[in-house]
Amino acid sequence: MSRRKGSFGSRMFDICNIIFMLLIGVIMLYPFLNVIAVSISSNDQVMMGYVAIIPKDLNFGAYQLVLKDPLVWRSYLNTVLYAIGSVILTLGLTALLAYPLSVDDFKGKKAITVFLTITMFFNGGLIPTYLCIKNMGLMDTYWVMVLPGCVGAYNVFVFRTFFQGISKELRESAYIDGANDVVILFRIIFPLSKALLATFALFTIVGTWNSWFNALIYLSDQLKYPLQLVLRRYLFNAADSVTGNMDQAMKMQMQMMRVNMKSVQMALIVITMFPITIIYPFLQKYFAKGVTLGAVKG
Amino acid sequence: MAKKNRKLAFILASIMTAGAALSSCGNNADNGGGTASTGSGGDSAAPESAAIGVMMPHSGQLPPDTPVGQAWEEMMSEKLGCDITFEWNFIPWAEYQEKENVALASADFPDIIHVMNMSDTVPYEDQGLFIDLGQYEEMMPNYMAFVNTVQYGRDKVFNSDGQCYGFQNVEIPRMEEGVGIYNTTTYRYDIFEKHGIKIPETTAEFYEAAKQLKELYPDIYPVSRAGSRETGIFHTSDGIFWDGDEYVYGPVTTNYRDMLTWLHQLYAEELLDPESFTEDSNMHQTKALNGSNFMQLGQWYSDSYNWNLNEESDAFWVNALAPSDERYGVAWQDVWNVNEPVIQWEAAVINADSDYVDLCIQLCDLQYSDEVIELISWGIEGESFVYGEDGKPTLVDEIKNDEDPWGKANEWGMRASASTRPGLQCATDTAAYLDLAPNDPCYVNGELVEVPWELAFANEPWPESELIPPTVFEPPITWTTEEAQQNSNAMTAIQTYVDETKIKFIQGDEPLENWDIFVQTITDMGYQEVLDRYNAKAAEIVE
Repeated sequence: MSRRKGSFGSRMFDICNIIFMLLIGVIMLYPFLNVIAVSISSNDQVMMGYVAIIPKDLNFGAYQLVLKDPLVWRSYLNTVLYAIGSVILTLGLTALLAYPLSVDDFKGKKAITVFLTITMFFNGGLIPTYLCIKNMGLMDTYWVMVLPGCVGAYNVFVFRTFFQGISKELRESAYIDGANDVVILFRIIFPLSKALLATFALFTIVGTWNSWFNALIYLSDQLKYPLQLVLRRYLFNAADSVTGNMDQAMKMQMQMMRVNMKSVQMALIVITMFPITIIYPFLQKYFAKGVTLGAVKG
Repeated sequence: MAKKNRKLAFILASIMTAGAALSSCGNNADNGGGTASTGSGGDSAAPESAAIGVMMPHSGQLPPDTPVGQAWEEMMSEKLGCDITFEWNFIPWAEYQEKENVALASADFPDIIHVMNMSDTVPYEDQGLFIDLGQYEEMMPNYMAFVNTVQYGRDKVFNSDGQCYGFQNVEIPRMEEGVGIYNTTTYRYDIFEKHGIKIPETTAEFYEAAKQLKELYPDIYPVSRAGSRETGIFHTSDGIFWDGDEYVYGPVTTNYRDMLTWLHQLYAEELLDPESFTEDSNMHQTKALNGSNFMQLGQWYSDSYNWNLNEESDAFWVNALAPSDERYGVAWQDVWNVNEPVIQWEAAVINADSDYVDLCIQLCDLQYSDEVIELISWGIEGESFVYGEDGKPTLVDEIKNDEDPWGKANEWGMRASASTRPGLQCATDTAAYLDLAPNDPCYVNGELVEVPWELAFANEPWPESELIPPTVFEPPITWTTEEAQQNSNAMTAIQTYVDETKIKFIQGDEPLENWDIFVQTITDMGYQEVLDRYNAKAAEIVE
C-alpha cells in the first residue's frame, strides 16, 4: 500500500514552517556564536569590528585574565553552593508547607491558604525587606542568598495541587500500617513527585544562577559574591573605560596581553553560562513539563 | 493516634507561624563593618580609643592592605591623640550607588558614609540623620580654608539656611597656568598627511576638508559627531547655561540655529555619518579603526592614544582643538577647572547618631591638611615620591619608568594609581595623576607633538584664555527638592522636544525655515519661567 502524500497546503505549510524555524534558529544562534568568537579573538580584530561568528587571530588571553582572577573562582563556587542550598531549602520547605495543605482534614488550612494568597499580591517593598533582613542578622551572610524567597506562595500552591492529585487511598493505607505524616511525605509522596521535584529543582537552579540583586543589596564581602555580580563588575569596568575610570591595573594587563575588554566580558559570559548550557539538553523535557505543571487540566 | 499527631502538627504549625511573624521585631543586629552605634552623639573630650565605622567605595585595591593606607591610619591616631580602629565597609565602585541609596533610605549607615553626590542627602536632611556641620565651623579650619578660598565656595557647601551636611571632596589644582581640555576633536593624521590636507582650525576649513575626503573616499562618511560637543564651537549649549553674565537657554539663540545650519550642511552633503547620532562607544571605536571616518567632533582625549596602539590598523589619530567659527571667535573647548581648588559634589557625611561626632569632624577636617593630602596623593616621602628641583613632588623613577607604572603605583596604594583611594577621599592633589600620564598625539599650534594632552596648553593664561567657556565659572546654584521638581516638570517636556527637533533639523526632516516656529513653541512651553528662577538664584550668589 502506497503512503498517502499530504495535500499541497500541508506541504507548503511544512516548508514555510521549516524556513521560519531555521530563521529563528539562526537569530538565536548568531549572538551565541558571536560571544564565543569575540572571547577568543585578539584585541585588534575585536576593536576593528572584524569578528562576527568566526574568531580571528586566536587569542585566549581573555580566558587567562578571567581565570586568573581568584574572585571568579570563588564566585563560581559560591554560586554552586547557593544553587544547591536553594534547591534543598526550596524543595524541602515548600513540600513541608504544601503537604499539610493537601490533606483534607487539616485544621487551619484555610487560614494559611489565605495568608499565602495575600503574599502573592502584596509586597513590603525594598526598604522594609532590607530592614527585615538586617534585623534578622542575615546581612552579609551566606544565608541571605538562599533563605529570602525560598518558599514562594505560587510554588506552594503548585505543590499542593500536585499532592492532591496523589491517591488518598495510598495515605490511608499507610496510616493503617502505622506510618506517620513524616514517613508518608518522604517515603510515599516524594517518590511519586519526582517530576515535580525535578522541575522545580531546575527552575530554582536557573533562578539562583541568574540572580544578582540580593547579592548587590545585602552582601558587602566580595568573597560571598555570586558569579553574576562579578560579571556585572566587569561590565561596569568597560563602561568606565570610556572616561578613564577603569581599573588601571586591569587596563595595563589587557594591553600587555593584547586583549580587548569586550573579549574579557565575553569570556566571562561564556564561563557563566557554561554549566546551564551543559545541563539543559539533559533536562529539557522537565522544562517542557514544568511549564504546564500548574495548569488546569480538563 | 492519628488524631493526636494531627493536633500536634497543628500546634507546631501555629508556633512556627507566630515565630515567623515576630522574628523581625526588635533585634537591631550588628551587620558587621561599621553599623551606626546608638547614642546621643557628641563627645566633649577626645577619647583614648575609638572604633569608627566608615562606608566607602573602592576601585579594586583595598587601602588598608597597602603601605599608604596603613601609614594613613597611623597618622590619624597620632594626629588626633586617639587610638582609632577603623571599621571599614568597602563597597566596589560599581555597586556603591545602589548600596548608598539603600543605606540612606533605611537610615542604616556607619559613623561616616561617603555619598556620591550631596544631592543624595537632601531628602533626608530634615529627618536629622546627619550632623549639621554649620554648627561646628570653628572645628574645621582646614576644610573652611578651602571653602573660603574657592570662588562661591560657601554657596556650594552651605544651603540657604546656613546648614552644611558634608565634607565635600576637593581637588587640588594640577597646574597653575594653562588650560586642561578633556574632550577634543580628533583627526586621522595619517590620512590628512597622505593627501596634503591641513588639519582644520575653522568650521570653513573643517567643511572643506570633509568635502575633499568625501571625494577621495566616496563610500564613507568622513565626519562623526561622537560626543556631540559642537555647541562650544558656536558658543551655545543644548540647555540652560551660564554665559558669563546670566543664564541663557541655548536652543532659542541664533548661535544654536547657526550650529544646526552647519551640521545640516554636513549631513545633507553626506559628510556626516547618520549613525553617529545613535551608535555606542564600541561601534564608535570600531569605525575609528576600520577607516569608516576620519574626523570626530568630541572625543575623550585618551582614546586616540589607545586606538593608535592597535597593531592591525594603520590609523593614527591626533587630538586637536575644536574648530572655531569666524562669527563667534575662538571655540569654547571642553575645559575642566584644574587650575583652582575645585569643590566636588562627592562628600563624607557624619551620622548624627555617632558616639564620636567631635572626633569624626576632626578626622574629616584633617583630610584637608597639607600633610594628609600629600600622603594619600603621592605616598611616602623618600620611598614613593621625592621633591624635584622645582620643589614640587614627583613619583620616584622606579614607579614612573616601570613597565606597568599604574600597577607599580597600585602596590603603594596612593591615589595616583587610580585603583586605590586611600583615606576618606576628601582632598586629592591631582598633579599626581600627571606623573603617570602617557604622551598623547597632539596637534597644537600647527604641529604634531607628543605630550600628555592635559599639558598641551600649559602656556594658555588662566582664567583669561578664550578657550575657556564661561560655564566653568558659573555660580553654584543649588535647588531644594521642590524647586528641582518644579524645574524638572517644566523642562523635561521642553528638552525632549528640543532634542527630537534638533535631530530633525540636522537631518532635514524639519526645514530650517521653521526655526521661528521652533522658538515660539519652546517659548509657549514655558522655558522662561525656569530661566528666571535660575537667574534669580544666580543673582543672590553673584551679588
